[in-house]
Amino acid sequence: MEDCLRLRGRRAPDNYGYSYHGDYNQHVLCGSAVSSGQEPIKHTTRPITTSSTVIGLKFNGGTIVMSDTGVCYGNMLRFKSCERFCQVGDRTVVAASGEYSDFQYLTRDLKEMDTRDWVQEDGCSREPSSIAAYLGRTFYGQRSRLDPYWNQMIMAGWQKTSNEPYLGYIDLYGTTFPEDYIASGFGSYLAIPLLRKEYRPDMTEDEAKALLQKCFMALFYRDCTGLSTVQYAVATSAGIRLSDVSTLTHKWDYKLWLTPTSQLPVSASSW
Amino acid sequence: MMGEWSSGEGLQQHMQSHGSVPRPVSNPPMEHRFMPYQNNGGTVFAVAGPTYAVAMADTRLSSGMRILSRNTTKCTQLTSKCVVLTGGMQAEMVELHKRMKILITQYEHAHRREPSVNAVAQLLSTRLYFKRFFPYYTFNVVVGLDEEGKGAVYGYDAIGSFERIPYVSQGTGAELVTSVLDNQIGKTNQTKQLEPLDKTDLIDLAKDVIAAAGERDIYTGDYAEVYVIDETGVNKSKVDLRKE
Repeated sequence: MEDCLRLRGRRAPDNYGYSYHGDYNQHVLCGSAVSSGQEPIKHTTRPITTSSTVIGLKFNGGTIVMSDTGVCYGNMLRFKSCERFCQVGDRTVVAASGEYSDFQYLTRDLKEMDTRDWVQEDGCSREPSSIAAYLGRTFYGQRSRLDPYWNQMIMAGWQKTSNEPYLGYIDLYGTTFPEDYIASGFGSYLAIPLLRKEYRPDMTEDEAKALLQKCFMALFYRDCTGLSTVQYAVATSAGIRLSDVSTLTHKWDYKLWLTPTSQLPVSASSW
Repeated sequence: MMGEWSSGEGLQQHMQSHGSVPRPVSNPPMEHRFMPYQNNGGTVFAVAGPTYAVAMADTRLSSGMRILSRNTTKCTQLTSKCVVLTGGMQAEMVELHKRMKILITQYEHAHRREPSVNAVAQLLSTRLYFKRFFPYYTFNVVVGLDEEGKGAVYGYDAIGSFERIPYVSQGTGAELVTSVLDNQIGKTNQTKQLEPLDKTDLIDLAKDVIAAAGERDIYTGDYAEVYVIDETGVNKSKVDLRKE
């Protein structure tokens, strides 16, 4: 796995059948320095293919986390049906916003960990908080190499030892914390005020889902990279349930939106 | 003008004849770089008493103009009579506190007793200086009871300079807190010297001080964790602060 870490975004020379960039080992080991007069090592300096909002909240008896299914290339909505969830073990699910390729890499990394756990055949499974700690260290390690995983992750799960729902946040700096409700991407601006107003810890699952749908509607109307197709995962004591992709019903023919602002009284402007 | 200094030769000739560095006339290549640091805000401070120490930290976690969390701790209890409090970057705080806990556990296994507060204080300084050239963006306070049972407070900078002082504050509200502590506890250059505060008054003062910081510093607020460390051990409680 250590090799995979260093090789992220590059393939071992053996895979190509020839050696590139001179001495391979020196190349991968020399950190940010220039390797033996060759090209400098390239780090992630900005995200390329990105996904936007993920929102998660705890309700009475579980955690729900929702995302849309869009992935953008710059300002173009390039991929419209990407799943942004990764289930780890039997009671944790990770949802990502930010660089999609980094998320795909991390998915593979987490699945490998999952397999190593499974091979033990000891019936033990990791707590969501343990997986959050692992991911947090992974993110912090990469940011310390100045080559971060450009994601904000929201983790939902069920803590078996304390028998309560778990919701946690991890970002590209390695910031980690648990919270009652969390939003990433554009949702950290648009959805948080809605959640602050309407969130209650004793919500039912249906109420929680309805609130998240409301948030994603607001995002669909105002976030130009937002999509109306959403997916959600629910974590309860019974495990993880990942929903099918569904489309939110949206409406664009509000009278106020159809009337030119020049014909409206100043106070009735849609702004 | 474009490209006048594109060859090193021309630049060298220019510098020889004029003896100064010319203004660049072509755009330098754009450099994108990941900035590994951010300040997540928050205020921590501590005051030492004769047989006790009081420490406080707010629980707000911010990123830019957003509040990420209203209830994230900045404190870790390291031994039965020592707590570390950290302002600055949360990710680095988590890392530093984890490392401190590991090292203290190793110390306990090696020596079969827990380290004294001044040993913990020196350890933190060494950890911080170990990363002198890629520092932890953290501003720390170590607080506890020393081997004589007296209140001990240590203040640090990000790279490990530290000293034992009667009171210290760190973080985004540090300036607001320091001036009040100077006035009420340091009693520096005052016309009338008042009696020193007793324990209850000191705790009340500390609560008022962090509430005052919460009024004026946007990165401080929500809740404050209060640690009172005395002969009974580490006593933790929580008070409400302004939530806007």
